Amino acid sequence: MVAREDSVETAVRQVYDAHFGRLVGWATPLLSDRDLAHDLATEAFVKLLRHWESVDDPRAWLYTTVANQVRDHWRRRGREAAAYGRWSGGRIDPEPVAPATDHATRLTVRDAVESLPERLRLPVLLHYYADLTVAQVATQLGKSDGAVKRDLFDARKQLAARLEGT
Amino acid sequence: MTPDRRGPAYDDDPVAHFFAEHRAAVREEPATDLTWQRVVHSRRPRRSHHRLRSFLAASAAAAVAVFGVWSWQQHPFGTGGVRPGQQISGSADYAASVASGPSNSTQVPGPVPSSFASWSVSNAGNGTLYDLGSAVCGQQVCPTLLRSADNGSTWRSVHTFAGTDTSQAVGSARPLIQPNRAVTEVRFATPQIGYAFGGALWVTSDGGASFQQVDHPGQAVLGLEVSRNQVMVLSADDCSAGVCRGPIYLSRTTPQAGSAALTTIASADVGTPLRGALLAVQDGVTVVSPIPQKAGTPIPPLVPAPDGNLDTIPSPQGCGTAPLESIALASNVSRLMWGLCAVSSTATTTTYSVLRSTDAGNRWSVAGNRTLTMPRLGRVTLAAADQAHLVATAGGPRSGSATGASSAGALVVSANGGRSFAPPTSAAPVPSSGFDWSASPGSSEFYAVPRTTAGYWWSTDRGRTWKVVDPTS
Repeated sequence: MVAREDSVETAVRQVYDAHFGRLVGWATPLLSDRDLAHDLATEAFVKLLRHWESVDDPRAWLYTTVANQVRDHWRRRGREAAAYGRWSGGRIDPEPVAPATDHATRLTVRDAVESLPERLRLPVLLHYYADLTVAQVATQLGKSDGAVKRDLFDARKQLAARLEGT
Repeated sequence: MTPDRRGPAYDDDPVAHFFAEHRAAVREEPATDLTWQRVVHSRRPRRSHHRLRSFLAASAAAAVAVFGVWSWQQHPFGTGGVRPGQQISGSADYAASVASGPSNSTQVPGPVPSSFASWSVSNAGNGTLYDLGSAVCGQQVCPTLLRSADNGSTWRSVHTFAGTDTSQAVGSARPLIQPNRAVTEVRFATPQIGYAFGGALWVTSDGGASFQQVDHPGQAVLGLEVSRNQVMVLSADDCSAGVCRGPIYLSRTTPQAGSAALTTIASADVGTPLRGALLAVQDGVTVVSPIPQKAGTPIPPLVPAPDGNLDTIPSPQGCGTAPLESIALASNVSRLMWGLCAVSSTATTTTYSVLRSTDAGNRWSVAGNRTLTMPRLGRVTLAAADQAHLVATAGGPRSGSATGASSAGALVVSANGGRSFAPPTSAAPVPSSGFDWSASPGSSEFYAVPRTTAGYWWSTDRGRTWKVVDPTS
C-alpha cells in the first residue's frame, strides 16, 4: 500500500515538475490574481494525487480542473458583485478609485472568454488557450468531437466580431 | 500543432491568433518543493491523527517555521496578502508561537466607514464591544474591525484587513466555511486580547490595533469561542469551495498577550463532507455541531472525550430519531444546555421541540413539546441566558435557503424555559434574510446579527425588547 502510494507520488511529482509552473501562469491572467491561481493549481494537483488511477491524460485533466475552478470563480464574483451592488445601496465611501484597465486597446483572455455564453467558455479555454486538441476537449467535457467543434465554431463567430471591434 | 484543428484555415483565424499570442505570453511560475509538500500533505488522509502526532510534531514545527519565514519573505501581508495554506495542515501539536506567522501592522483608529455592514459582534467586557464587518476599500471589500468603549453608543474603526479573501464573504451564496485566508468573525476575551477568524486565524493583544496570524491544525478555522480564560478553536482539513472533507480538530489556547499557541485536544473524522460546524463553549463545556453538506443526513453533536476523540451526544428520547441541533449553552448558568429537535416541517416552516440538560448533555428532558416554529430561512440559532430566557433566530444568506419563507418570526423569544415562544414586545423590522447568528454574552443581554445590514440587533432585557445598533449612524 505504502509502495503504491510512493509510486503514485513519484509519477505525479513528475507531472508537477513539468506542468505546475505553466498551469499557474496560464490561470493567472484568467483570475487577475497570481496567488489565487497558485492555489487553484495546487488544489488541482491534490485532486490529481487522489484520482491518479482514473486519470488517463494528466495535462488535459489538470487544465480542465483548473478551468472549471476558474469558471466557478467567475460565477461567484459575478453574483458577489451583483449582490454587493444591491447591498451597499449607494453607501459607497468616497475613496479614491484605481484607474480602470483600458479594455479598448487590449482585450484580455478573460474579457474575451467571459463575453461568451456559459456553454462556450470551457471549450474555448481548453482548446484555444490551453492548446488541447478537439478530441482532448471532447473527452474531458464528456462531449462528442462534433459537439465541441460546433461550440468552437459558434465561439469563433462571436469572438471574431469582438476582436474586430478592438 | 494538432491535425484536427490546424488546417490551412488556422493561419487566417484571428481567434486562434489571439489566444496563441496570449498563450505565448504566459509566464511560467516556479514549481517549488514547498508547494509540492502542500500537495502531498493535503492529499494524505489523517485518520490516524493521534498515532502520527508525535512523529510529525518535530517536522511540522520545523516546516511551519521554515514556511513562515519563506512566506513572509515572498508575500508580506501588507503588499501581497497572505496565502491559503500557509499553515501546514496536519497532525501535529500546534505549539508554534504566533511569532512565526505574518503580522498585520499597527493601524490608527479612524471614523467608521459609511459603507460598513456588521458581520460579527463580540462583547469584550467593561463596556467594550467589537464589531467586525465589511467596508468598501478602494474597489473591493475589506473586513473592518470597529470598537466601542461605551457599550455601543459610539464607534471607531480600529483595523482593516487588506489582502484577505473576501470572495465568498458577501452575497447570497456565502458559505459557512470560508476560504483559507478569509476573516469574517471576531471574538474578544478581554478588551485588549481577541481573535479574528474565518478560514484564517489572527490574534490581537492591543485592542485590534495590530494582528498576528496564528498557526492552526487543518486548512480552515470553522469556529472559535471564548469562555472564562479559555479559547477553543474548531478547524478542519481538506476544505474547498465551502466544504470540508477531512478531519475536524478541536484546539485550545489561553488568551494572553504575546502567545496564542494552540494545543489540539481532540479530533474526529465525521465521515461525511461538512458545509459548516458550530462551536458552543461555556464554563469548560464544549459542544461541536457539524453541519453536513447534504441535507437529510444529520450528524449528532460532538463533545471532546478524554481519549482525544470527539464523542457523539446520543439523540435524547424526546427527539425520536431526529438528532439534537442548534445546541446552546446558557451564558449565566453553568452546565445548562439547550437544544432543538425538528419534529415536523412544511414548505416554509419547521417545528421544533425544545430540550434541556442541566448536566452538560448527559441527561435531557423535553422543555417544550413542539413549541417552536421557525421560518425555513437558512439555519436556526438558539441563544440562552438562563433557565428561562431563550432567543431563537432563523436566517442567513445561504445558498439553497430560498424556500420562499418569509422572515416573519425569524426572531422569537421565550421567557418560560421554552414552553412557548413569541416575537419580542418591540423590535425593528426583521431583515428579509433573517439573522445569521444570535448569542447571549451574559447578564440580560442578547445579540442577533443579520450580516446584511449596517448594524445588529441588541436586547438588554433578556429578549423582551430589541433595538438596532448601527455603528454608521
